[in-house]
Amino acid sequence: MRYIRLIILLIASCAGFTALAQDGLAINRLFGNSRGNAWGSETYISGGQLRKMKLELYRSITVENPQPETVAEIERLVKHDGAGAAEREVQLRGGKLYYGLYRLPPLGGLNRYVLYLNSALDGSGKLILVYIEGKADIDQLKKLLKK
Amino acid sequence: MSNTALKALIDKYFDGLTSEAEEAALRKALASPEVKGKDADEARAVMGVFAAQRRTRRRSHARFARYAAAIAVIALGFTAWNISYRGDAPDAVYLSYVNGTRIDQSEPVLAIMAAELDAMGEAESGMQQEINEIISIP
Repeated sequence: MRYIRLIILLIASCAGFTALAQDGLAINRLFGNSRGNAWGSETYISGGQLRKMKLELYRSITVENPQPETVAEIERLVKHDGAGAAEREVQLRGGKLYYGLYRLPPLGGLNRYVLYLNSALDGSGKLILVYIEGKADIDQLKKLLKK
Repeated sequence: MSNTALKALIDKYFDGLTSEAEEAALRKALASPEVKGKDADEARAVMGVFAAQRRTRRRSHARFARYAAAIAVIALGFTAWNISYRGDAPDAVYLSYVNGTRIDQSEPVLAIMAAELDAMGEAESGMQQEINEIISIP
């Protein structure tokens, strides 16, 4: 019984780490505000099918035709979190952040990524921000992007 | 303990009337080699058998606990495998709000995720292409 209790405790600890991994990021304040808003979409996926991709959590917001001040605020928060990234790939257009892939330092045994795309800059009118947690390394993540 | 008291206790023991404290006292008395006699030997034999039975019962409980723990670990392992590879975890959450409309079915939510990652992938490929062009400039 001691072992069973220990196993349950370990599982609970892992779940706790997973839930906490996103805390402390500046972009966190952007999530969880989109209910009922007509300006875009917000997505939250955890567990389930994600695990086939070695991922645990997927969060995103998509803003249609974002206002310049919205873009500026999101870009500021992304750059703030990106400053602490272990690895980054960034593309600028006209001095604005167009695309960014940031690998944040792992937390709780999970890799963490922030992806940003402001395709409003090339005329398609969308800004997408994604936060991902999981065991997938950066190469595995890039394979997911190229599927 | 006097011989008379010991004999009375043994008789009481065989009648099944001893309390736990009396049984313990009798066991302690019988442990002494100075206590001799047919009644004492019989009591020793019977109490030894019961002790052995208790040990067997304890062993049996321990074995059951081990089997139960092993089954629990296997069940947990199977559940973990199920979650990892089949992806139908009961704790899975699929949720999207699209222009104020709630979607909580896995397929449309995963389709939104796929579309977003596709868009990221295109930007990533475009960036890679630009880097390759820069590198190939003589």
